[in-house]
Amino acid sequence: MVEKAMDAHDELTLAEHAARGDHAAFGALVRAYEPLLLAYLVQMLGNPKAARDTAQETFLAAFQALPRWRPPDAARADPSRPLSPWLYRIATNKALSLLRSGSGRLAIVATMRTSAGYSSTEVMTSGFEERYAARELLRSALRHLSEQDAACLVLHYVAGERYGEIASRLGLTGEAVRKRVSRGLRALRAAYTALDPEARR
Amino acid sequence: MSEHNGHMPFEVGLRNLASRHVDDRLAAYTGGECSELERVAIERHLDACAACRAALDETLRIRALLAPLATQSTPMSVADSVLARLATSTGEGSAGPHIAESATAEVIPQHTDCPVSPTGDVSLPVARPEASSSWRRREGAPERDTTAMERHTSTSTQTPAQRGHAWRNRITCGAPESGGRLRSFATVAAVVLIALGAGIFGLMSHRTTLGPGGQPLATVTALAQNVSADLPANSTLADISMDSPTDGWAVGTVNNAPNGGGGSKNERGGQRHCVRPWRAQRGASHGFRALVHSGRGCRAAGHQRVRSGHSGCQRPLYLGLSGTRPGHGAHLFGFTWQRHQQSHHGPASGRDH
Repeated sequence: MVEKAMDAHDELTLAEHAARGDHAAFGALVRAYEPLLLAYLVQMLGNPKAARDTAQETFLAAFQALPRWRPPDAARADPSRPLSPWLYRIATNKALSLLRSGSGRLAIVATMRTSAGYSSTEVMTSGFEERYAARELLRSALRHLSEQDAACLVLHYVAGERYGEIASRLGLTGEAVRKRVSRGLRALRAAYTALDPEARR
Repeated sequence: MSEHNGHMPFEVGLRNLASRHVDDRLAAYTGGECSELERVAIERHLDACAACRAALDETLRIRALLAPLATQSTPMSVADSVLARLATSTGEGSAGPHIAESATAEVIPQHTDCPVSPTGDVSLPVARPEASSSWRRREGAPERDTTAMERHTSTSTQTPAQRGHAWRNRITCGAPESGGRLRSFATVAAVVLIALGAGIFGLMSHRTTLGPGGQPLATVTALAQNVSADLPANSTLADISMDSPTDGWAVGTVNNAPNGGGGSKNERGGQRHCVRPWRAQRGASHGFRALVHSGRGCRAAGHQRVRSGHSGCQRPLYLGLSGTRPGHGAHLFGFTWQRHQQSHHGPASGRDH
C-alpha cells in the first residue's frame, strides 16, 4: 500500500477546491485515501466488492458534505492527513450500517475471492471454516459497538495497528484509543462466548 | 518479587496494580501496549488468578482467530468510478456538491450487457428459513436489506427503489427548457410506463414467488440441469452465495444433531456451521433471483430479487432451497427463466433427503 505524499496544505487546498465542485481536486483526494480506506473496509466487511461499494459511497457522501467540513483539532489528528478522521468516520458508519442491516453473507463471500477473480481451490481447505468463524465473530462484535469503537477494533485486532497509529488516523488521543480497543475486546469476548457454546461452560 | 530494582514506588505501584483483575488491561497487555510496570503487575496477577488466566487465553484465541483476516486482497481503485458517478450526476443537472441529498440516489446504473458483470460479482443473500419474519420484512419493505444486498449483487449500488427514484428524477428534472406541457406529457408517459412495468414485474414476481407449495411452479417443466448442494439432516440454510456465475457455497447451521449427517468436522453439538459447495450448469445464468422455500411441504417463505434479468436476457437463474424441515436436510434447487416460460429443476431431481 503506497500512501501518496501530500502535506496538510495540499490536502486542505484540494478539499477547498473540491468543496466548490472541482472534480479533479476531489479525484486527487480520492486517490490519496482509497488505499487506506479500501484496506480498512475490506478488513471490516470481509468482502472486496462490499468494501469497494462502501468506499465509493463514502467518497460520494464526502463530496456532498465537503462544504460543511471543518479541519479537525490539529493536536490530535495526523497533521498531514486532516481529512482522515472524517473519512474514516463516514466509511465506518456506512460499513456498520451494512453489517447491521445485512447478514452473514458478507463473511462468506469474503473468503472466496482473490483480487484476480475467483479462487475455487483455496476455499476448499479447512481454513474456510475458521475464516467464517472469525468473520462471524467480528461481525457480531461490531454490531454492538459505536462507530469509533468499531474503527479501533478493526484497526487494532484485524489490521494490527498500534495505538499511536490508530490515534492519528482517527484523530483520537492515545488514551481514548486504549479505552476503545479495550471495549472492543469486551465485545469480542461477549460475541465469542455467544457463538461458541463450549466457551459458555 | 521485591528484587525488582529495589525501587519502592515501583514496588508499591506494582503491588496495587497486581492486586487488581486484569480484564480491562488484557487488550493492552496482549497488544504490547502496556508500560513496563503494568506488564509486570499483570503477569504477577496472572500467576495468582485462574479467572484472569482464562480471560487471557480467550483473548489470545480471539486474536489468533482474527489475525488471518488482515490478509484480504484489496479491491481495485474506485477513483475512476467515483469521478464517473460525479460527472454523471453533474451532467444530469445537479451542479456541484450542494444539490443532491444523496449522491447514490442520483446516479443511473449502467447495465451495459446482459451477462454477469465483468467482476462476476454476484452473490445471493443470506437465506434464513428459520427466521422467516425477516424474509417477510424483506418482501414488504425491502429498502434497507435490499440495499445491502443489491450493493453486492450487481454492478450498481442502487436498490430498485432508488433506481426508480433516480429515473423519475431524470424524467421530471430533465429537459427543463421544454416547458410545462412537454414535461407533463413526459410525466404522464412515465407514470404509464412505470405502471406497465410494475404490472409486468408483479405478474412475474407472483409467478416466481409461488413455490412448489403453490401453483405455478407445479406446472413448469423439469430440466436436466443441476444445481445442487446437500446439507446435513437437521440443518437450516444460513447462507447461499455465488462466487462465480455458476458456482457458490451453501452454508448451513446444524442444529444440535447428535447424528447430524456429516456436518463440519468440528461439529460437536449445539449450532455448528457446515459448508457445501454447489455448482450450476455453466451458462445457465444471466440474472439472479433467490427464492427460498422452507418448512413442511416446501412452502415459499419469501423471495428476494438479487439481480433482475436484463431485457436481453433469456435465462436468468433462480435459486431456492427445499426440504429444510428438521431431520430431512436441506437442498438447493435452481430453475431458469426463459422469457415467458419457466423451467424448473430441483427437488424433483431427488436430492432431498
